[in-house]
Order: sequence, then structure tokens, then C-alpha cells
Amino acid sequence: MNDALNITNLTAGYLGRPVIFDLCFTVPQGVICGVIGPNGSGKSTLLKSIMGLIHPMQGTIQVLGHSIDQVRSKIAYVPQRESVDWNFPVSVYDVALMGRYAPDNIFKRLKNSDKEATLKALEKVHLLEYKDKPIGQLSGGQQQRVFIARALAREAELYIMDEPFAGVDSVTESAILKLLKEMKQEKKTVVIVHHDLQTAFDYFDYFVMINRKLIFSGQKKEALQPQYLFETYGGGLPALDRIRTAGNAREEIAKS
Amino acid sequence: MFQEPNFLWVFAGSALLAISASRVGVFVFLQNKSLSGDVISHSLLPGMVIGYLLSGEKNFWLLFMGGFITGYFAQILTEKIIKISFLKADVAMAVVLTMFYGLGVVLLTVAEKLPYGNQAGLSAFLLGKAAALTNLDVGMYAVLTALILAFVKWSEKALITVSFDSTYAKAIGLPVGRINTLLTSLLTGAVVMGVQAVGVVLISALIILPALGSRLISASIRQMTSYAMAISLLMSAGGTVISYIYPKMPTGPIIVVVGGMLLIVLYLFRKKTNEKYE
Repeated sequence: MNDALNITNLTAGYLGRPVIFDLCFTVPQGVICGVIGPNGSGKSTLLKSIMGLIHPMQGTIQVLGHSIDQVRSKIAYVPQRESVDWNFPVSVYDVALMGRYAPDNIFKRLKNSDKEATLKALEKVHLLEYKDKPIGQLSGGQQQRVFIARALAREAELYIMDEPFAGVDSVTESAILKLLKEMKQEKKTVVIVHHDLQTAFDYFDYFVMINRKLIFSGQKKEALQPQYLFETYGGGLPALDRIRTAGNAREEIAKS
Repeated sequence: MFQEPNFLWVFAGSALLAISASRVGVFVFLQNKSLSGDVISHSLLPGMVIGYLLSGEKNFWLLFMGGFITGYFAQILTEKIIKISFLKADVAMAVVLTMFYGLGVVLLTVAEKLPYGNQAGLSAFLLGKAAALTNLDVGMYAVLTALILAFVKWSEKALITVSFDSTYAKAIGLPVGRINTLLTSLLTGAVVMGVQAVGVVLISALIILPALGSRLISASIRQMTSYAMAISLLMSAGGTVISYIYPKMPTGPIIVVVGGMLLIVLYLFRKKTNEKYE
């Protein structure tokens, strides 16, 4: 089976200035993968490169074994919630239905199966009763769930989400976590950009840690090494200090 | 009044114009490109005059093509300048708009000095002359309106997706560049079509006022589209009737003034969309 993502020597950025350098990693299919790193570490640049929204300066990206343009119908993308104007006059259903859009049906009538998949997706995120509401009337968490419903409606193999947990309420958080579990059972792959280290190890089972360069990629049990966290976050986090102190204490006990 | 053929042509012409302009205007408004109509309307002037100079008469389609080409080119130029330079959108628009308009006025002055220029009434481009709409104009307007409505209907899903979330549209592989080109072309078409009736300065009111007014009272694009068309029809009906009753009143400007007053009323009855649920 092809890897969900296979990235070699990727350098990418904006206006000729690289943000991420020489990344090499793979993400196997069927994992819930967290892409973590501090602000400005290039997480969003990485996602945009994967989605083909910016062109790499160097290196190659294979998605499900192909170039992104050949597999777009199998990929669902969830951009950051702040990237759109939520006062735009569309309903919850209208946005979720966009999950079914593709270059080959955008200028045609949609099928009934498209409508059914959309309603099913809205039910999964508990928004079915809100389907005719204008999106401007939703809370932040509900807005995030609309974006997730749009991705679910796509019935994709690979889900790529940019900060879906940012600023959401606990209802939404647990709804997303439940969905992630279901997706894992269905052998779907999910790649999530996430900046909160506290929760990352509860949410994900595979990790890509970057700070403009690749620090680590692999399974959770190997990711839990303090050295990777230091390199990723530069030792500037109180949580890391605690890990370091605990590590030192353990070493000293072992020595004595 | 309703038996008067002249009144009926003027009303039919401005109603068709209002429908096209407001249908396209909804998307222009939602993409926050409300000033694009102004850029295009001012920049079509040199093209229209060149179209006139080439033919030596006021041939509708030659003027239309000439205006379409320079208007469209100016809008694309503005977008390119915003993209590649440090200039802000308003500056880029002001620069392009005034340059093209200046060139247009120069050419217009030259054209009017020509022996056949004076009778052609070229100065109608500047202020418009809706009262002079004839059955021939209305025929062309009907063709153009049918085209514009058909194109918008055909591309509506794409236009909504790109206007709401263009990053997502790119991510699912939609031809975002071509969809925007289509919208710019439709906008240019509506503007060029309307210039002879309401003039360079006022045409953008027909694009934006109905969209803004309908936005105040609607929650979905479907509602917004039908309200915008209704508002634009009210504007053109109000304008033609008032200028018929008071023959000294110019039709085009009255249409816009009626639109402005409608806007005030709609603002008072606007929908409060800020209340959240849950």
C-alpha cells in the first residue's frame, strides 16, 4: 500500500524565501498524524505545499502515491476557521455541500447521492438540525464542525486539517475526537496541524515534528523523547522544563 | 403613459440593464470588489471612442467590443498591480481608473471635433441618456441580458465557492483563475452595456446598490439574488416613471437616486444577523 504522504527534500516558502527546509518524511495510511511545532515553524506552509496551494522550491511530494492533482477527489482539506468570512450569506448545508464539489461536477447538477452524503456528514457533527441556519449565526465551535462536515461529505481517504482544535468548545473537541476514532477504524488517514503540545499526545498516534526543519517523524511511543520536544520548541516551554527536571532527577536517582 | 411606445422602450431597456447589473453585482459585492465596477466603467471610455472612430458611427456592437476590451484590460491590470507591487488596492484602482479615463476624455474631445462627431452624441457616455433608448437598443440589451443570466446560472456553484473560500476552491482543484476571469467578463459586459444609458459615473450604482440593499434583508444568496433583482427593477421603474412625469428630470440619475432612497428604507428594516444560537 502506498504511503499517505511521501515527502522528499521539500523546501518551500513565499516570495523566494524558504520557510521550511529539506523535509523528508513519510506518513503511512491509517494513522491519525499530528504535525506539531511552534508558531512560525512552517506547519501551514507544509500543508499548503501538500495541497499544491504553493509550489515547492525543491523536492517532491507524493500523496497516496501520486501527485496531488491526480488524487484531489480522495482528499478532504479543512482550512483554518479564520480564513473565511463567516458573515457570508450561505447556510450550514450550503457549506457542507461544497465537500461534494469537484472540477467535473461544479458546472453540472448535483446527484441525490451528493445530498445524502452531505446530510449524513452534518448528522455526524451534530449539526443536522442547524442545516438551514445562516453560518453567521453559529458559535465558533459549530463553525469548525461545519468545516469538518464539509470534509466528511467528501468521503475521502486522506483528511488534511489545519488547526481544527483552535479555539473550540469542549462539545466540539469531543465530537472531533470521536470522529477521529471512527476514521481510524475505517482505516482513513488524518493529518492534523496542531500547536498545543499539552493535548497532542492524547489526540494523535503518529507525529511529524517540525521547526522549519524536520525534527522527528514516527510513531507516538518514539516521539515522546524529551530531546525531540526540546529541538522542536527550543526549550522555551514550562512543560519542557518539568520534563527535563524529571529526567535529570531520574538520572540522578539511577546514578546514586 | 403605458401606451407611449417611447416610455415602454426606456422602461424595458433600463429594466433589462438593472437585472443584469444586479445579478452580477451580488457576486462582485460578496467578493469585496465593489469598486471594480468603477474601474471598468471609467476605463471603457477610450475603447468605446476608438470603436466609434474606427466605424465612424455609433454601431452598438463595435462600441461594446471596444469598451469591453479596455474595461476588461484595466481591471486585469489593476489586479496584477495589486498582486505584484506594494501598492494597496485603492491606490492601484485610482491610478488605473484615472489614467484610462483621462485617455478616454482626450479621445472623446478629438472625436467630437471630427465633422461627423457632433451629431453622434458621444458625450452621452459621460452622463448617460436612458431617455434615448430605442427598440434597437432594447433588442441588444435582451440578448446581452440573456447571455449574462445564463452564464451566471451555469457557474453559480463555482462563483459561490470561490467567493466564500477561494483557498478551499483551489484545494479541491477548481479552476479558480478561470472562474474569476468569467466573473470579471460578466461584470465588464454588464457595465459596458449600461454605460450608454446611465453613464460612466453612475453605472456602478446599478451594480452595487441592489446587492447592498438585498444583503441588508437576506440570509442566503438565493434570497439576496431575488431581492437584488427586485430592488433593481423598482429602481428602474421609479426612475423611468418619475422622469416621464417630469420630463426635465434625467432618467439615469433618477434611477440611482431612487436606489439610494430605497437603501435608506432597507437599512431601517435590516435583518439583525448577529444573534447567535445555542
